[in-house]
Amino acid sequence: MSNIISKIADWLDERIGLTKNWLRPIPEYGFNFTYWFGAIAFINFLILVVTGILLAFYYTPSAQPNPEGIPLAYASTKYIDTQVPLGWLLRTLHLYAAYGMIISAFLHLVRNYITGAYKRPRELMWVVGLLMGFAMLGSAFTGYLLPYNQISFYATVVGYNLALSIPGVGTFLGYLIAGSGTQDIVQRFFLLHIYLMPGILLILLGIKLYMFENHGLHDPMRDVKKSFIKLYNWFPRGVYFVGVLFLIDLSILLIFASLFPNDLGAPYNPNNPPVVEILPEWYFYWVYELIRVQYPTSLLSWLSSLGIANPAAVFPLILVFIAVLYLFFLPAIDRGKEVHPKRRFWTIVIGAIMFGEVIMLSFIPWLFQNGFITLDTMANLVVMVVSLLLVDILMIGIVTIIFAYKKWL
Amino acid sequence: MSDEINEKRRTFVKGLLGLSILSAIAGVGTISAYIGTSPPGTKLQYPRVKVANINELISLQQKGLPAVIPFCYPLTSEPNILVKIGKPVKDGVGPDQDIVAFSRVCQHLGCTIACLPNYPSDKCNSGYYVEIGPPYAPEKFNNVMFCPCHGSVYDLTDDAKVVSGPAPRPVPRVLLEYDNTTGDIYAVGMVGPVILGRGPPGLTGTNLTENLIPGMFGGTVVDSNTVRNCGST
Repeated sequence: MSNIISKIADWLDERIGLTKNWLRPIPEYGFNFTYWFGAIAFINFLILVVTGILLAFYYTPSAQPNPEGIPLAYASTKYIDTQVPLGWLLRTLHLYAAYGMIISAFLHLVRNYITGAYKRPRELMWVVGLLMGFAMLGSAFTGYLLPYNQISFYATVVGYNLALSIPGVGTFLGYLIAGSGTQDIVQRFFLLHIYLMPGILLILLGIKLYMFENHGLHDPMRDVKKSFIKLYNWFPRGVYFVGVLFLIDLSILLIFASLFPNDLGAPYNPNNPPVVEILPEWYFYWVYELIRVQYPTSLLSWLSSLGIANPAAVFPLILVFIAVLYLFFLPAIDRGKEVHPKRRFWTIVIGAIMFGEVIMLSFIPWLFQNGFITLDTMANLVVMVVSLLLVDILMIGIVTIIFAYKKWL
Repeated sequence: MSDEINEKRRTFVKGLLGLSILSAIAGVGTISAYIGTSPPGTKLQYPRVKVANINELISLQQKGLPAVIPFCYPLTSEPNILVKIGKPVKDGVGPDQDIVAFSRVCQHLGCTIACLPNYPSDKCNSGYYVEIGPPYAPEKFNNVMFCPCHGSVYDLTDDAKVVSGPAPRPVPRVLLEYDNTTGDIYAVGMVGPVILGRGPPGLTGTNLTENLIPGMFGGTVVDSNTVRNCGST
């Protein structure tokens, strides 16, 4: 019997080459979960693919009403929640796996920023990684519409109009993603959500992994002589490590999904005005906060005079665009050989400010739930600017203290 | 075979390459038409339709409700409200010069303006946000519309001027005609920029009858049956 198994194993090995080291071995210092945020994002992606395929068995991407007058997209989501055995768990798991992917991808970005992992020769890995982040957020944005409830529909309207507001390409982009009419937008968003965005993500992942295999893990921050680093093959230790990460991740998602199942809300119906405050998902809160404040009229009219049709929407987009540009050009800006954060003061300060501001901006709408209900919009601007300045001072202070205190890091 | 280079073949292959690049460029135009970079369909005319009779507004007032009637115009996907404010306002029609109608599509980012659930229900009963101001200062504003997405506030007594929030301009006004003999109120056109997200953005002008193009919400031109019953687009 064992003879047959080993024969089958040999046959397979000869053809597939499992025992050959076709993946670069992992250095010992790599067995530290902070090196694996990207892998955790990928694990969440796999969970999303599996749960997404199962959801697509029942979901109907259509704005047409069913006999009761409810749009099919909403009705089929409701069917998943109420009729499909454990369908509610499946849908919540899909949602929370998306949260997990966004969180781990964000931590992956933050970690590689701090450790200078974007430095030569890994500049293009950084750029490809950022592109993957956008494909991921695009996938999340297009998925938000699909349940077709009030909040997701109007949040999509906002996103769609933001796209339309972009000078030059806005109209093209708007018609490209939304077509004409609600049927078009549901169908196209479904297509973008299940094929195009994940497809782009996978292609970029392939490119990034190819580069990763060439360059390997970046060096640890502590000075280690390379010849002393022990190397482990992917099988068995790397595979076990990933397996454990997968099980932990899935357990956390399952616990949260079963304790806090997602509420579907009321269906979108053009006859009924929205009865809820329209918010995006929490990972877009920082953009939402930038959009909803009332900027000084003089600034907006100056932008108008430049020919921008909707300056109130374009100005916050410009702010986001500057941050994104900075991230894309970071490998060109911070070109020194030093990777240790203690020797890269300015990069760390700018990064800490950006990180703090994004967290703070995301926090304000949550802090002032029904924000404009407690605050006048002019007061919103003051609250936003003051809290951002406070965060900036706090971040500069923290970084300076860490740098001053020699024993840390 | 010799290693000689056949120049003729090379030129032929290069020619093929050039041709395929040219056809690829030509294809881009075709594809962009296919995905709908230009809005489909023909341009439409604003219809003249009866929205309501003045007695409906008066009876709402007598019941102590906001004198507000929702309707769709010019397309079945585009919500508006008809309001009898109770005091003469600019461009108001009717015997008291106090009836106006405005688009409910917010000019900031295209949300539909409506009431919020945490409002006192007697202030919200028609589903629209007219009788009182935004939640942070209800006493400060009267006869306003309030957008639930980013909190823009429009003053209905002053041609929908933006009094708070990020909206860049007033919502478009529906041109109304009042029939003195019957008390019927007709919608005949719209003034203001083409509604964001439901037509080409950023277009301005007063005569937009040539530019009525369905946007994201689709919809068809309303008639007397659909003007008040326009949901299922």
